[in-house]
Amino acid sequence: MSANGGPTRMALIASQGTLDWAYPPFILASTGAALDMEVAVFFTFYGLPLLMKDLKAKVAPHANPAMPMKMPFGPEGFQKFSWPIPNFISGVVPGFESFATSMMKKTFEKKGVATIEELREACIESDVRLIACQMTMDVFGFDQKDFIEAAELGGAATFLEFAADADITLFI
Amino acid sequence: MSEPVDTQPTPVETATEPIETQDPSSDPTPAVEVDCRGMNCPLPILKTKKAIGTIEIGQILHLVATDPGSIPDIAAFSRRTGHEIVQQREGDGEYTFWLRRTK
Repeated sequence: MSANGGPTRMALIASQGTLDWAYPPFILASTGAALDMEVAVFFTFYGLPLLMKDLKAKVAPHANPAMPMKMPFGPEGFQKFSWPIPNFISGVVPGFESFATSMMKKTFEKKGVATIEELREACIESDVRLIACQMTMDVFGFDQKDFIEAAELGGAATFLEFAADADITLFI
Repeated sequence: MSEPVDTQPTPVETATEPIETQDPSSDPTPAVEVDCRGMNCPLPILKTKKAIGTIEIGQILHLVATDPGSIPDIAAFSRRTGHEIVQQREGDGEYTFWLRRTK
């Protein structure tokens, strides 16, 4: 029960659109709804494409020294080895992001982690409000027809009206 | 703003501790089975939530998971939603829960 007497309310802002950063808002939103919370996520700036029908989120290992580079196949010792990829490779080799993205997706699948598509579907099924930032859509020149039907258009005031009574508010 | 006057008594925690038993003969009969073996956070919670909505109040959901995080997570799910863990068991890398739908 929330302080305002209604269900516990969680308001999230998803501002990043890479594969790794796509997970926290969708995991928290779907789990919050499973715990009977009322949840809304405001997708803004680079987070907005996470509401597109065609999810293209990739991971960017370049200039991300905290990201372990591991192989999702082979003997256990090989899989646990973290490959030291210098920036001049991760930044210059064509297709390196796609390669790293495919490796990360394989690892997640092997570890039984849901895909972003599955988590997003769980959010839609459990009535999480997915607010698409209108301003970002205009600035980046996106077309509303490329977005999922569940996305509702809104701006800062739409989000803040919901967040004003939230028990949990996170900027991701 | 003045302090709100609290006239409601503090709710008393009535939930009992789940029974941990290795004797399968006393297992409650489930109305639905959820197999989350090999799945990671938050899938066991999402699958449990979806499945518990398909059974009647008072009926039992049986969940098998391999994610060690499911022990604290299912306990938190139970506390937040009110669905009661009536029994749980751990062994051979599997965590088994019997939850009763309460509402």
